Amino acid sequence: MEMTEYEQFMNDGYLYAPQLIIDPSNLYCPPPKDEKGSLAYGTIGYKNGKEISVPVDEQVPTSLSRYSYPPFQHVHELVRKSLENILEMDLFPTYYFDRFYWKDSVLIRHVDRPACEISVSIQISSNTNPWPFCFKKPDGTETSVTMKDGDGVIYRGCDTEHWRDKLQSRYNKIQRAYLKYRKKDDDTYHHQIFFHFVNAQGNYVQHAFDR
Amino acid sequence: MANLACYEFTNLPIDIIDILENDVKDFNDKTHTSELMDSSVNKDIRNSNNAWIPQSHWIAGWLWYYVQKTNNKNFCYEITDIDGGTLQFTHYREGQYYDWHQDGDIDLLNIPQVEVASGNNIGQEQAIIRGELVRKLSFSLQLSEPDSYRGGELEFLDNCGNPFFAPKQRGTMVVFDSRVRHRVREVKSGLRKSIVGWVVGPRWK
Repeated sequence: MEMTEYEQFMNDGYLYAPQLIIDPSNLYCPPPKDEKGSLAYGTIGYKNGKEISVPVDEQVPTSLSRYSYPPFQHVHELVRKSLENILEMDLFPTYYFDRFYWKDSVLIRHVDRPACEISVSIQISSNTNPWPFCFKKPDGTETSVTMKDGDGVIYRGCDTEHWRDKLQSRYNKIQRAYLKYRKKDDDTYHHQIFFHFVNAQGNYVQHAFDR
Repeated sequence: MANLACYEFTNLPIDIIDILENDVKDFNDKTHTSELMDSSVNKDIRNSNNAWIPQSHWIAGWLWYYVQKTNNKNFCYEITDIDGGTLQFTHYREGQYYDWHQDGDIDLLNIPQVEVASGNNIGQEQAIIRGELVRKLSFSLQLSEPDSYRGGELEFLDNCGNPFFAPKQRGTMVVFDSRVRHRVREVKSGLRKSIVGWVVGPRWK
């Protein structure tokens, strides 16, 4: 008998969700640049209409992350409803962020904090080859998912170890040398949004709304 | 900075919680429609059932330990006893809830009674303020497994009006300032069981 999506999710620790966002172009953002026109790095937090910036993203130094970026706020609620339908469970939102990964970005193997009990990572845009998102299943085997724009992968953030190997440049060696000579950025990028939730019938509801 | 609500994940063995639940089954049969603080029944505000557990029951001593522990590390209030010498064993079934409320606040206090006692000598009359015990802390022990019911979250509002939930983990003891607005959201299915109580102390000074 075929497993339900919920059973598959619980069994594997993750679930591939193709076309979770039907039209990802609605969420497209051009890769952010700093005031000098170079690729922007660091972390930006948005709270109560204010922006707080940190120059280096602690988890992925070769990236720019934005926490609670206002244009994505409504998407958190839409995605929550989608996930509730897919997983057949009630969810409370915790927090969300999006990240632009630049060339050489690596997401080291990790599990997340309780506010990430149920997480989804959605690809918004990319200008390079598919970049595998890797998981270690409960049975110890390692697997990966590659996404297209709008695809998502739902995973048990606190339980399922996940990572990404180095994001390779979209340019060949000669092209990279030319960029270096012209003092231009390698504009290889991958834009991903992460929405996090807790199971309303679980042990982490106190982390709802990221308390 | 102190917290409005504190959680003790007691890790109380399930067997012990089962014993407790069996123990309070006697009270189970005596559950009746819950009343509000003024002893009235208004199902628009509170729709639940409860039984009263006397303070002499062993669970009261166990709960008192966690109340004191939490009070010592977070609230530091002057507290003396469990309000009314009783605990509430509460049931919320499908469709039941307890709307936003506070368990204690200034508008729930009586005006202090001032008595004038005559001394032996004329002019030595003494004003005696009759103190009263006021509710300072509230607590709730979660008895149901979180996946055995839908809804039924114990929800608080912080001072900025932001909501937050108490943990649902079975055996969790939640202790909070009685002046904090809170509610039990409607249970959508299943049965939510808890033991709740209030802690009193001398009037705020």
